[in-house]
Amino acid sequence: MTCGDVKSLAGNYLDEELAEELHSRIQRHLLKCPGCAHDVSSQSMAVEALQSACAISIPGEEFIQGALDRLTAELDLVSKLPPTPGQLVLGIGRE
Amino acid sequence: MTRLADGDEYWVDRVRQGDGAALELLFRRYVNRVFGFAHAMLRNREEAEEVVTDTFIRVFRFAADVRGQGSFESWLLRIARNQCLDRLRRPRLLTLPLETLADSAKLLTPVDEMDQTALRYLVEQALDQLPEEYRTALILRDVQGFSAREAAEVVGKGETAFRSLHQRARRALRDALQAGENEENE
Repeated sequence: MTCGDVKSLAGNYLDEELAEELHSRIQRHLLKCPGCAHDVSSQSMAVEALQSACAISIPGEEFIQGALDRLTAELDLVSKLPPTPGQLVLGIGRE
Repeated sequence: MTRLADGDEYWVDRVRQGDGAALELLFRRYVNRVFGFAHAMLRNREEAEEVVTDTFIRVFRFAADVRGQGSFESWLLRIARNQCLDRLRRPRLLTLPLETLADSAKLLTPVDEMDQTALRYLVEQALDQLPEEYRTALILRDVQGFSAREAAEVVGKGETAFRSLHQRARRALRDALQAGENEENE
């Protein structure tokens, strides 16, 4: 395991996408290589900072209703199709 | 029939035929993902809402012309991304929390010990310095949790190329955060 190997696999390592054996070999390398350890840990902290700062936001129900009204009008959709066989009149259509 | 690589194509065709209930189903299924992406890219709630609405309108107006592969979700996000890029090219008002400038966070301080507003400011400053492609990769993969394959579809790259891009983006973010920290320490 070389520093170049670790550099190219750092992303997979951080995302825990590697097989156990390869993951362990990288861990052993990091324990004895301060340069690679700094590279990997600082990337990990950067990702953590990003995730903490960019918490996922969701739209409100008021927006959703307004957007659906606008979409229905703009796309000329007024549920103009008759229900298909097996479809509930008041529900979402089913195949 | 519109060709999509998932079970959504039935509902997309129902919308094209005028079925409002199918539109509501697809909209509710994906609105959070599209809004979350646009909000992270633009950092403005109202603009993100406009992007969501415009994206769905475009998707269904042009659904008949689609012959591409990939999921409905990645198609939506490709369009949302273009909408965001258009908006980012326009002059925009500064909406960052400037009052936090004096005590911006330190990258090497554990995240849970940092002031959240200061952290957000530091990260936003760092993201602003990155190429748009890097920001998109980080938001899709690290914030929204898309798989590398899904994110690759959105940005129109192969999975290997996307992984390489994402790796460069993480290192660039790290470097920008460290530069921001050093600037604050001077």
